[in-house]
Amino acid sequence: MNQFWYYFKNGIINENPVLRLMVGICSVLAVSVKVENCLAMGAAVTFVTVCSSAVISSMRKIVPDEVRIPIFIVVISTFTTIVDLVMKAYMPPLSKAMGIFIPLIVVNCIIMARAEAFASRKPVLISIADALGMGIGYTLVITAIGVVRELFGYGSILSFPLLPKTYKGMMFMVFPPGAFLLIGIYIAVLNHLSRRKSK
Amino acid sequence: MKPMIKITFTLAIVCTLAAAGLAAVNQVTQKAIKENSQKELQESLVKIFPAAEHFESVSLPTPSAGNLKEGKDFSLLELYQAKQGDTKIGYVFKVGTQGYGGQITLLIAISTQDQKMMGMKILEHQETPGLGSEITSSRFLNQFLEKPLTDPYQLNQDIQALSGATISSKAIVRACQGVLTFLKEGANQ
Repeated sequence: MNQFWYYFKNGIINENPVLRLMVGICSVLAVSVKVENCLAMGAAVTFVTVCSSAVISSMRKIVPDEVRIPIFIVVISTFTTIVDLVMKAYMPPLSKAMGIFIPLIVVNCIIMARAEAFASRKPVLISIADALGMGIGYTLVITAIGVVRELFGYGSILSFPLLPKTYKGMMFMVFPPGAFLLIGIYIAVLNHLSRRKSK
Repeated sequence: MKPMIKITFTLAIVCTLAAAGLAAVNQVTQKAIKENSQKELQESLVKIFPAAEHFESVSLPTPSAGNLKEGKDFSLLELYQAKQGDTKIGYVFKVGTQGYGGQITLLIAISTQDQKMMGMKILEHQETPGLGSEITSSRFLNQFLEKPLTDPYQLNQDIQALSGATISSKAIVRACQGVLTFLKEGANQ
């Protein structure tokens, strides 16, 4: 159980996928304009990561080395398609807002990287802990970016207006450069904090 | 020889299982997805054309009937006749137009009685979230509410483009022009 927590926390802070491993950044840049999209994207990515890691880890002994990558891709794309179909059926407005980025979870590097580097080598439970940590770490970062971008870009949070109507909105925050800048600031802050802690 | 058989076999089994799983999920969700889009269409028809009491699907005339430029940029998908009792009061067009991220499908309601565009509704799009996706906002769509058909329908003349989303705005204007051309062709014949 200790190990479970260790790997779970590892994904959130020490090896945060976005701020530390620098993977999965494309979807962070693209989707993080509104908090609602961030939460949905985070949930979808976490679901796909956890399910694929669990399946890949449980098959790790029977999968021949030569075809492991194609098999990972089949597993990941299966779960992504399931998420896409379920969202279309039961959450049509959200699925519409996310558009192309749900199917694109297939090529999200976080999932592939965790499958190759972790799940294919470790037991099932630990792989699930790792995937859960990675998914939640991703969700936290993308939401933290989304909060700032939606607040300054549209003057609202979760489509609920917070700033006065006269606020015109910062175009810069709506464009991907806004997300780039925020990612940079967050990385700097995280590095600063962890350096101070180790001193 | 032996490893090859094992590789092929494992890959085949994994793919079969994945396909079976997807087929099952598809079976469950298919009905809900279809119902959603049907319901959405009905609701949208009523919403953009409140004056009409019911809608009748009309089969589309063949593209060669007019010299309407059909193609990748613009296509007429479905046509509904709006009726109040027995009088025909207008049309709702379902059209596709090429946006920035793919095809945009939208409904355009035309009142032939008042010679006005009643409004439009975006059904599907893959535009950039936060920029092109603003074509669905009322701020943009209200420009088309009760707009006389004799207006020019030109970007930055009578239609304000969305900042940062010129291509998406152009796509919508192109759809309007396509529908207007279609109506004119029909009137001439």
